[in-house]
Amino acid sequence: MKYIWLLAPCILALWAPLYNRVDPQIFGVPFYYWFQLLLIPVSALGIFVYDRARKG
Amino acid sequence: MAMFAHLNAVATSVFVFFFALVTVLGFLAARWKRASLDSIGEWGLGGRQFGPWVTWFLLGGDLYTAYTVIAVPALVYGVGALGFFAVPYTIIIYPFLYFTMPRLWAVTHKHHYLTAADFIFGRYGNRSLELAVALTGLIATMPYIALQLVGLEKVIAALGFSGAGVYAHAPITIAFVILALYTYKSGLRAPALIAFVKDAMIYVFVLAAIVVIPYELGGWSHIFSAASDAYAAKVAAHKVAAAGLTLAPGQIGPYITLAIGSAMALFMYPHALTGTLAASSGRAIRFNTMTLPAYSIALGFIALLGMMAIAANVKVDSATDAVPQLVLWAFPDWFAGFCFAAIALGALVPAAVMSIGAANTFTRNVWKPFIHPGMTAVEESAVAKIVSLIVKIGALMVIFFMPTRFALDLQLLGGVWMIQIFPALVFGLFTRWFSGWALFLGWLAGIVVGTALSWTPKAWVPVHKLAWDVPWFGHIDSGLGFASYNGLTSLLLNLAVAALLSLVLRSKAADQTRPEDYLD
Repeated sequence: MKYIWLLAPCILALWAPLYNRVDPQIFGVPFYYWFQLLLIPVSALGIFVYDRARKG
Repeated sequence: MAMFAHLNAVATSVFVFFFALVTVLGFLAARWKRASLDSIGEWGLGGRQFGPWVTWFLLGGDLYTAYTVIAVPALVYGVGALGFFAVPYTIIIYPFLYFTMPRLWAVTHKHHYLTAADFIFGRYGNRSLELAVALTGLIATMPYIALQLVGLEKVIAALGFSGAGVYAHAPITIAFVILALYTYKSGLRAPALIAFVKDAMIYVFVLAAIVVIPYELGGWSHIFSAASDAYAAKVAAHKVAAAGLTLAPGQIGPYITLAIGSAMALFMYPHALTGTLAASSGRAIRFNTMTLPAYSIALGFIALLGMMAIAANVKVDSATDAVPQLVLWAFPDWFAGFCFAAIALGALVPAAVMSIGAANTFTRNVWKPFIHPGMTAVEESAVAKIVSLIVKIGALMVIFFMPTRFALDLQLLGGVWMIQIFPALVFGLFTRWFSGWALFLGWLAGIVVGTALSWTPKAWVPVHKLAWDVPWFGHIDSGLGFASYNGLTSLLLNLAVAALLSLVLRSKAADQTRPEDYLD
């Protein structure tokens, strides 16, 4: 199950219809942009958590 | 002199200062982690001793190139949301690296392999497959180096240099000759050391840009609304089929498949593998799968510079001038010079690693097996050094004598070709079930069909609808109704051919590797 930490960010990143929208905006930045930008550190964190779990 | 009449003196001075600084670093790099550079392992792979942080700077400098800094925002400037595919592309690549590259590092370290093709010959014992992999890497790398020159030339033009005739390409020729000399002398140590300076400068540039430019333009909402209006006007005037702040329905298929295909192709390129295999341990590579995303965040913001250029109303002849012109518009001259130097170094680091990766590949997988099998380590290093010079001269010749369009088209096709070695390299890390000849024929099918899909009477294109007119056969419609990246579509065919033929063409060739060799 620990694979979910790696897979979930990838699935979200590729699921374009999910985030292909303007609202809700943050500081005038459309959802499409801030969601994808936010997903970058989230995906890195996912790899970190997986790495820790793998080493047990 | 006329070519210097419009030169921005302050910006140019800062630019030349940084260029001189890295030139000194490039030559001094030969003494860093000192070893005899007469061995190809030391010259071409830095002796495999770059720890987690050196690898972070080197790979960051190597993968996020000057051309990226120019071309990604240019695409956003032109069509908006579609240009952001670089973000999902760089998200999915790191989990993939986590699973594959430590294995490749371990097996190459154990057997002293230097290139992808070295490993593939060791694994499958098939010279044709080795040559196919090597030539794919060499051919795909050439236009990539040429495009770094295009990036370099864009910022030099923005400094106000306007040479004509033989002088038109004088600055990039000087820059490249200097780069060629210190790469010849110091090998991979040169770009590794310069990458520290380049990456630090790029981060300063991006931080300044995302703080200062939105402030000057009156906030993010103004930037996005100005961009939205500009895209709507373009679509209304039929200048582009689709553009906007979000993807048009027809762009979703290309967006997803371009992200997947580009991610699968990137680490097949010799320069990406050279930077990775130079790491000192599998641990150093895993560390980088968690830390390299910092560059992806920078790239995401760089992409948004395309919209800032629209909001700032900079007028450009070509979309690739958008970022340099925005920098001139937004910053004082001295800082514009700093940003241009950052982009220029962003061309030199990858160009050096690409030429080294190509040189290693040519030496080990073309020259050694087919021309001079009895080569010593010293001879290998001598050939590689000379090839690194030839590759750079070749890239300069492309820029001198061919239209930029030629390098762009070849780069587009390069990605479609490069992905075709994915089954041999990546599956080979986990299984020997596929046979060498089956992988070779799959590669061939993928190259031919990927190229054919990309051809249209007007231009080479990256995507094609999933419905095809097959010669002597007729029309086939997959019924999926969307367009897909040709690299990915043709890879599926490659995989099908390789899998089916592996059932009948069982390989009797030797495998040099054992399962435990893949564990670091």
